[in-house]
Amino acid sequence: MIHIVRSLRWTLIALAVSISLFPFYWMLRTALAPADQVFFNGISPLPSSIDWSNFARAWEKAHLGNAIVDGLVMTLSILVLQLVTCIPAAYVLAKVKMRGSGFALAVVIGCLLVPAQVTLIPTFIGINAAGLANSLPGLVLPFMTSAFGIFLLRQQMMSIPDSLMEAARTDGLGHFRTLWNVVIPIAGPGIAAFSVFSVFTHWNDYMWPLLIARSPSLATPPLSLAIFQQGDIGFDYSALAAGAAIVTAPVVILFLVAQKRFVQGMSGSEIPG
Amino acid sequence: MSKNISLRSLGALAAGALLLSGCSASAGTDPQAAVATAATDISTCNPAQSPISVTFGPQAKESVAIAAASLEAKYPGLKVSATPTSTSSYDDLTKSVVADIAVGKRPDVIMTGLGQLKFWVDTYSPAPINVDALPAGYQKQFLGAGTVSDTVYLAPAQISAPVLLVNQSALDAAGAGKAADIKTLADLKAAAEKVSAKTGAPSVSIPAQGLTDWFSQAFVQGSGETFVNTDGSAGFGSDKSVKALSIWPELKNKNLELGVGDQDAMAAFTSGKAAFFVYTTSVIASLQKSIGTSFDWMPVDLPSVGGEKGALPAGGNGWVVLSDESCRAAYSNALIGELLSPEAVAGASGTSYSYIPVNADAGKSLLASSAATPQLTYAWSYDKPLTPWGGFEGSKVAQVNDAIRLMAQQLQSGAEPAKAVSQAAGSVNAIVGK
Amino acid sequence: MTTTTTQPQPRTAAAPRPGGPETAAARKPRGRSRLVPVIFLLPAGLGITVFVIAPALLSLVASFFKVPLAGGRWQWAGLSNFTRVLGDPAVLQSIGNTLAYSAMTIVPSLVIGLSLALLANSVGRGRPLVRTALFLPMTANLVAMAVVFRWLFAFQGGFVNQLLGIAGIGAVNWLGDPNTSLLTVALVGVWRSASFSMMIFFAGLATIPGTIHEATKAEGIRGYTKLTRVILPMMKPTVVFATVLAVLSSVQAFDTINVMTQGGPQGSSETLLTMSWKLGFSYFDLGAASALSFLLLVVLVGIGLVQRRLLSGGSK
Repeated sequence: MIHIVRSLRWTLIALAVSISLFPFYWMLRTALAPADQVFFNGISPLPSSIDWSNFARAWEKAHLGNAIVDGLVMTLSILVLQLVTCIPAAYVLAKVKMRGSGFALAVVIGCLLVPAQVTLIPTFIGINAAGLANSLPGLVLPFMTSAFGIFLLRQQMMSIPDSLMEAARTDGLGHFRTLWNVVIPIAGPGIAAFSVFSVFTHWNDYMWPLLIARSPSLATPPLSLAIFQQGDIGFDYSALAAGAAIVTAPVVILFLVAQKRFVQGMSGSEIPG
Repeated sequence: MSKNISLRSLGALAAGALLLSGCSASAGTDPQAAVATAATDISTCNPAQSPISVTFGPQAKESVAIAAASLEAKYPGLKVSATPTSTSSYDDLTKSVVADIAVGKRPDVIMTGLGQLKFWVDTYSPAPINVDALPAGYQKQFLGAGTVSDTVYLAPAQISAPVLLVNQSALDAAGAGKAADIKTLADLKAAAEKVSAKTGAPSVSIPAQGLTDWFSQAFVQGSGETFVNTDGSAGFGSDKSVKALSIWPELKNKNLELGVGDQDAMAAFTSGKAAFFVYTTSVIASLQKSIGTSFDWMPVDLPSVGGEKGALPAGGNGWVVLSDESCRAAYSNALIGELLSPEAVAGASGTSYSYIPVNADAGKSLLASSAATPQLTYAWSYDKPLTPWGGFEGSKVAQVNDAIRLMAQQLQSGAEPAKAVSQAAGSVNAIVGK
Repeated sequence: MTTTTTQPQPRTAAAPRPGGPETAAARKPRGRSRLVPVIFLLPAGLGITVFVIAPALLSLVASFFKVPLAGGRWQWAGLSNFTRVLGDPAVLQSIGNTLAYSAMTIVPSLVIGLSLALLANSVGRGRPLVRTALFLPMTANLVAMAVVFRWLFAFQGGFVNQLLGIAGIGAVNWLGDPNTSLLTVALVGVWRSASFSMMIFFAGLATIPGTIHEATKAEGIRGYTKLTRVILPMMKPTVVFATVLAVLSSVQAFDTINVMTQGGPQGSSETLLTMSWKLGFSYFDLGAASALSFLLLVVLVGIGLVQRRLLSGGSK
């Protein structure tokens, strides 16, 4: 009986893992196959020979070097802004008793539930009217703060024992020093988790850059890839797969490095029922 | 959360809404009302006071660079600011220019897809093209694709025509004759039946996705029928039009049509899985690269109901002048002249794009080059008359195209043709208010 | 490993404990600026006001106007935007598609996510590896993956159809057939969001103290009973959170559809988001687009309220 359960469990896990990894594997397989063999190779597990030049072609044709720099600048600018806006707000909502903080929290939770398409068009009109279309601030500003981030960090900070806060106060620490010396170190895992989350949300974002980044010099990695795959003058499938792999790699690597922290930090992020 | 909070937040929301509606109702003038001005005599203008701006897709990056430099050299002091967009999609290009105009950044020269000519003419009143400023060698018969009610508003630059691409090796293997002998839709069907009988799989793809409205127009006009009536209503409801558009369901019902999107269709043709592929002459160059020597293939004229050779709609792009000041309009026309010079056209139609050269001198030099394979020769020597793409009310172009696309997709999945076509004609007429 | 102390780890405490911080902070902190907390809230408040609340309100206002993207005056349109969107068969189809897409993605991704979290949690050796493998879809770039999935589901020569062929089943025109296109896009959606749900459940499971596991073991409660009677009730906030995110990611599906089907064929994979996009940026009918987004917001708020009532009703 235990044997059956155990082997059933491993079968399920094997199945889940293969479904989850298969598209990645297929992407690499296509990226490594010589361009003229993509269509003639059936479903053999490995390409008949390995052709690294696809990566070079993708890099050049999809302007990925430029896109990765754009993507990094945009993603990191958003991250910095979000940390600067979210951490102090979360601290106040978690640890400072003041009038209206209940309302503020309700607004944050409410904003968490507003889907992108509701704000998309007015935000676009506003950014465009402000002359920020096709500029880095236009890409970054709408994400200057994150309701999700405030909420997640607030939940993390709630768990900081009040005795600590009390001690900081009696030591004469003001809000700034309390936040900097006491709260931020303890909320570290949450901040790290949110940072990872923010980075891969905005690195992967496609919709907003598609609207805002009109000139090739601003295109982010997913946008460059999407433009490359439109290819109205022809298709280069192995280079496209190589490009997909290049665009995917940074976040996967970031995740592999940060995953333990990330999972820890994401817990405690639940909406109070 | 307490009731209190939700009540208070409702109050705040309402106050905000009032404020915002107050602001927005009084916002701005109407930039759309601006009307482009016809060009004045260029010799009366001061180049330093008339800087011009041009917005275009990456397809024209090289030619714009060449043209801008040479225009600036001709008129010292003139500044040409060139804004490329990142996507080559004409819809995205239109979206960008519309958004720019909304904030008062109306460009002087824009590239646009030929299918969007009516959109610009009907909603942004462009300046007419100064036909005399076009360079020597420019093939004026293509200006028809840029003409609306007898005025040329667009100078075609990189143009293409619908074409049938045939895998001759697959035909030979199935004993299905020669590609060049396919003149009618019945010929196409007969050949496809032979190939499919041999392979046991569908062998034709007329993708009903990105360019469907263009293909539909091509089938109808190629058979000598009218696609858009002169009063702007749908003209594709005639019996012969229905017969032309029936190619989709007829192929589907005999299990000859793949029924896939553009990219899968191109992959299927490249890999030899689809022997017949209706697409555009502009992809011939890249197909040649990816097919290599895998099989023999040829582009042939799009077949029609009875072998008629009606004028097909032109695809591709061209230049439109939006300047709202006469001197800038004059320099804009001069820039277009540079953009259509033999050197710029040879680059724009060359070996990586295979557009039809709009400059005869460029065509000659391309045909004389070693790159002129039989397939590319088809594109480079194309000189049949072409009509504008579409032609329905400009502000409704996207809706109309969606209605036609829906029709083509219904037909592609085997719908009853007479019904699908008359439904589509009905909804197109409803959209344009006819 | 799960902790075995009786105290939950501070940083993994799930829901806010009632009272705790509030009562402590209730004693007014003397000698501290009252202004600083306000300054702390300002940047975030500004961001939220300008980029979430104002646009949402503007979208409400705009749904009663004719708004030219080309600029120019707004014209009062009454309810005509609403009648226009609700009278357009293509829009109605997109609403239906969104409902179908949500049905095909929300519950499956939650169930699969929870099952995977439990499975991965039950593994001893190799757990980090299993976990990493199952988390990867969550990090994937959807544009890149949509490209790959389009090949996997290609009608001719696609991997899935070749697999079906080996099993003796005829090829399915996954993306080209109006009957399967939405399902295909939804499969990709589940592939992605199941992984995300799993991550949230996995984090939630880690907050359950080891003593609970010991206690249930001692009382002989296990398997399904343990899950429904002990684990799930303890993870209620996690379940709510995962559900909210699953709903949001379903109604916001865009990347996969834009790359894989562009809403077709015959509008069979057009969703509310791609439809608003089309109304706004292709037809330039911003009023209609706003009306449609506003309707969606109303529906979501409605679902939120119902869900809240159901969940809080269940616990009382």
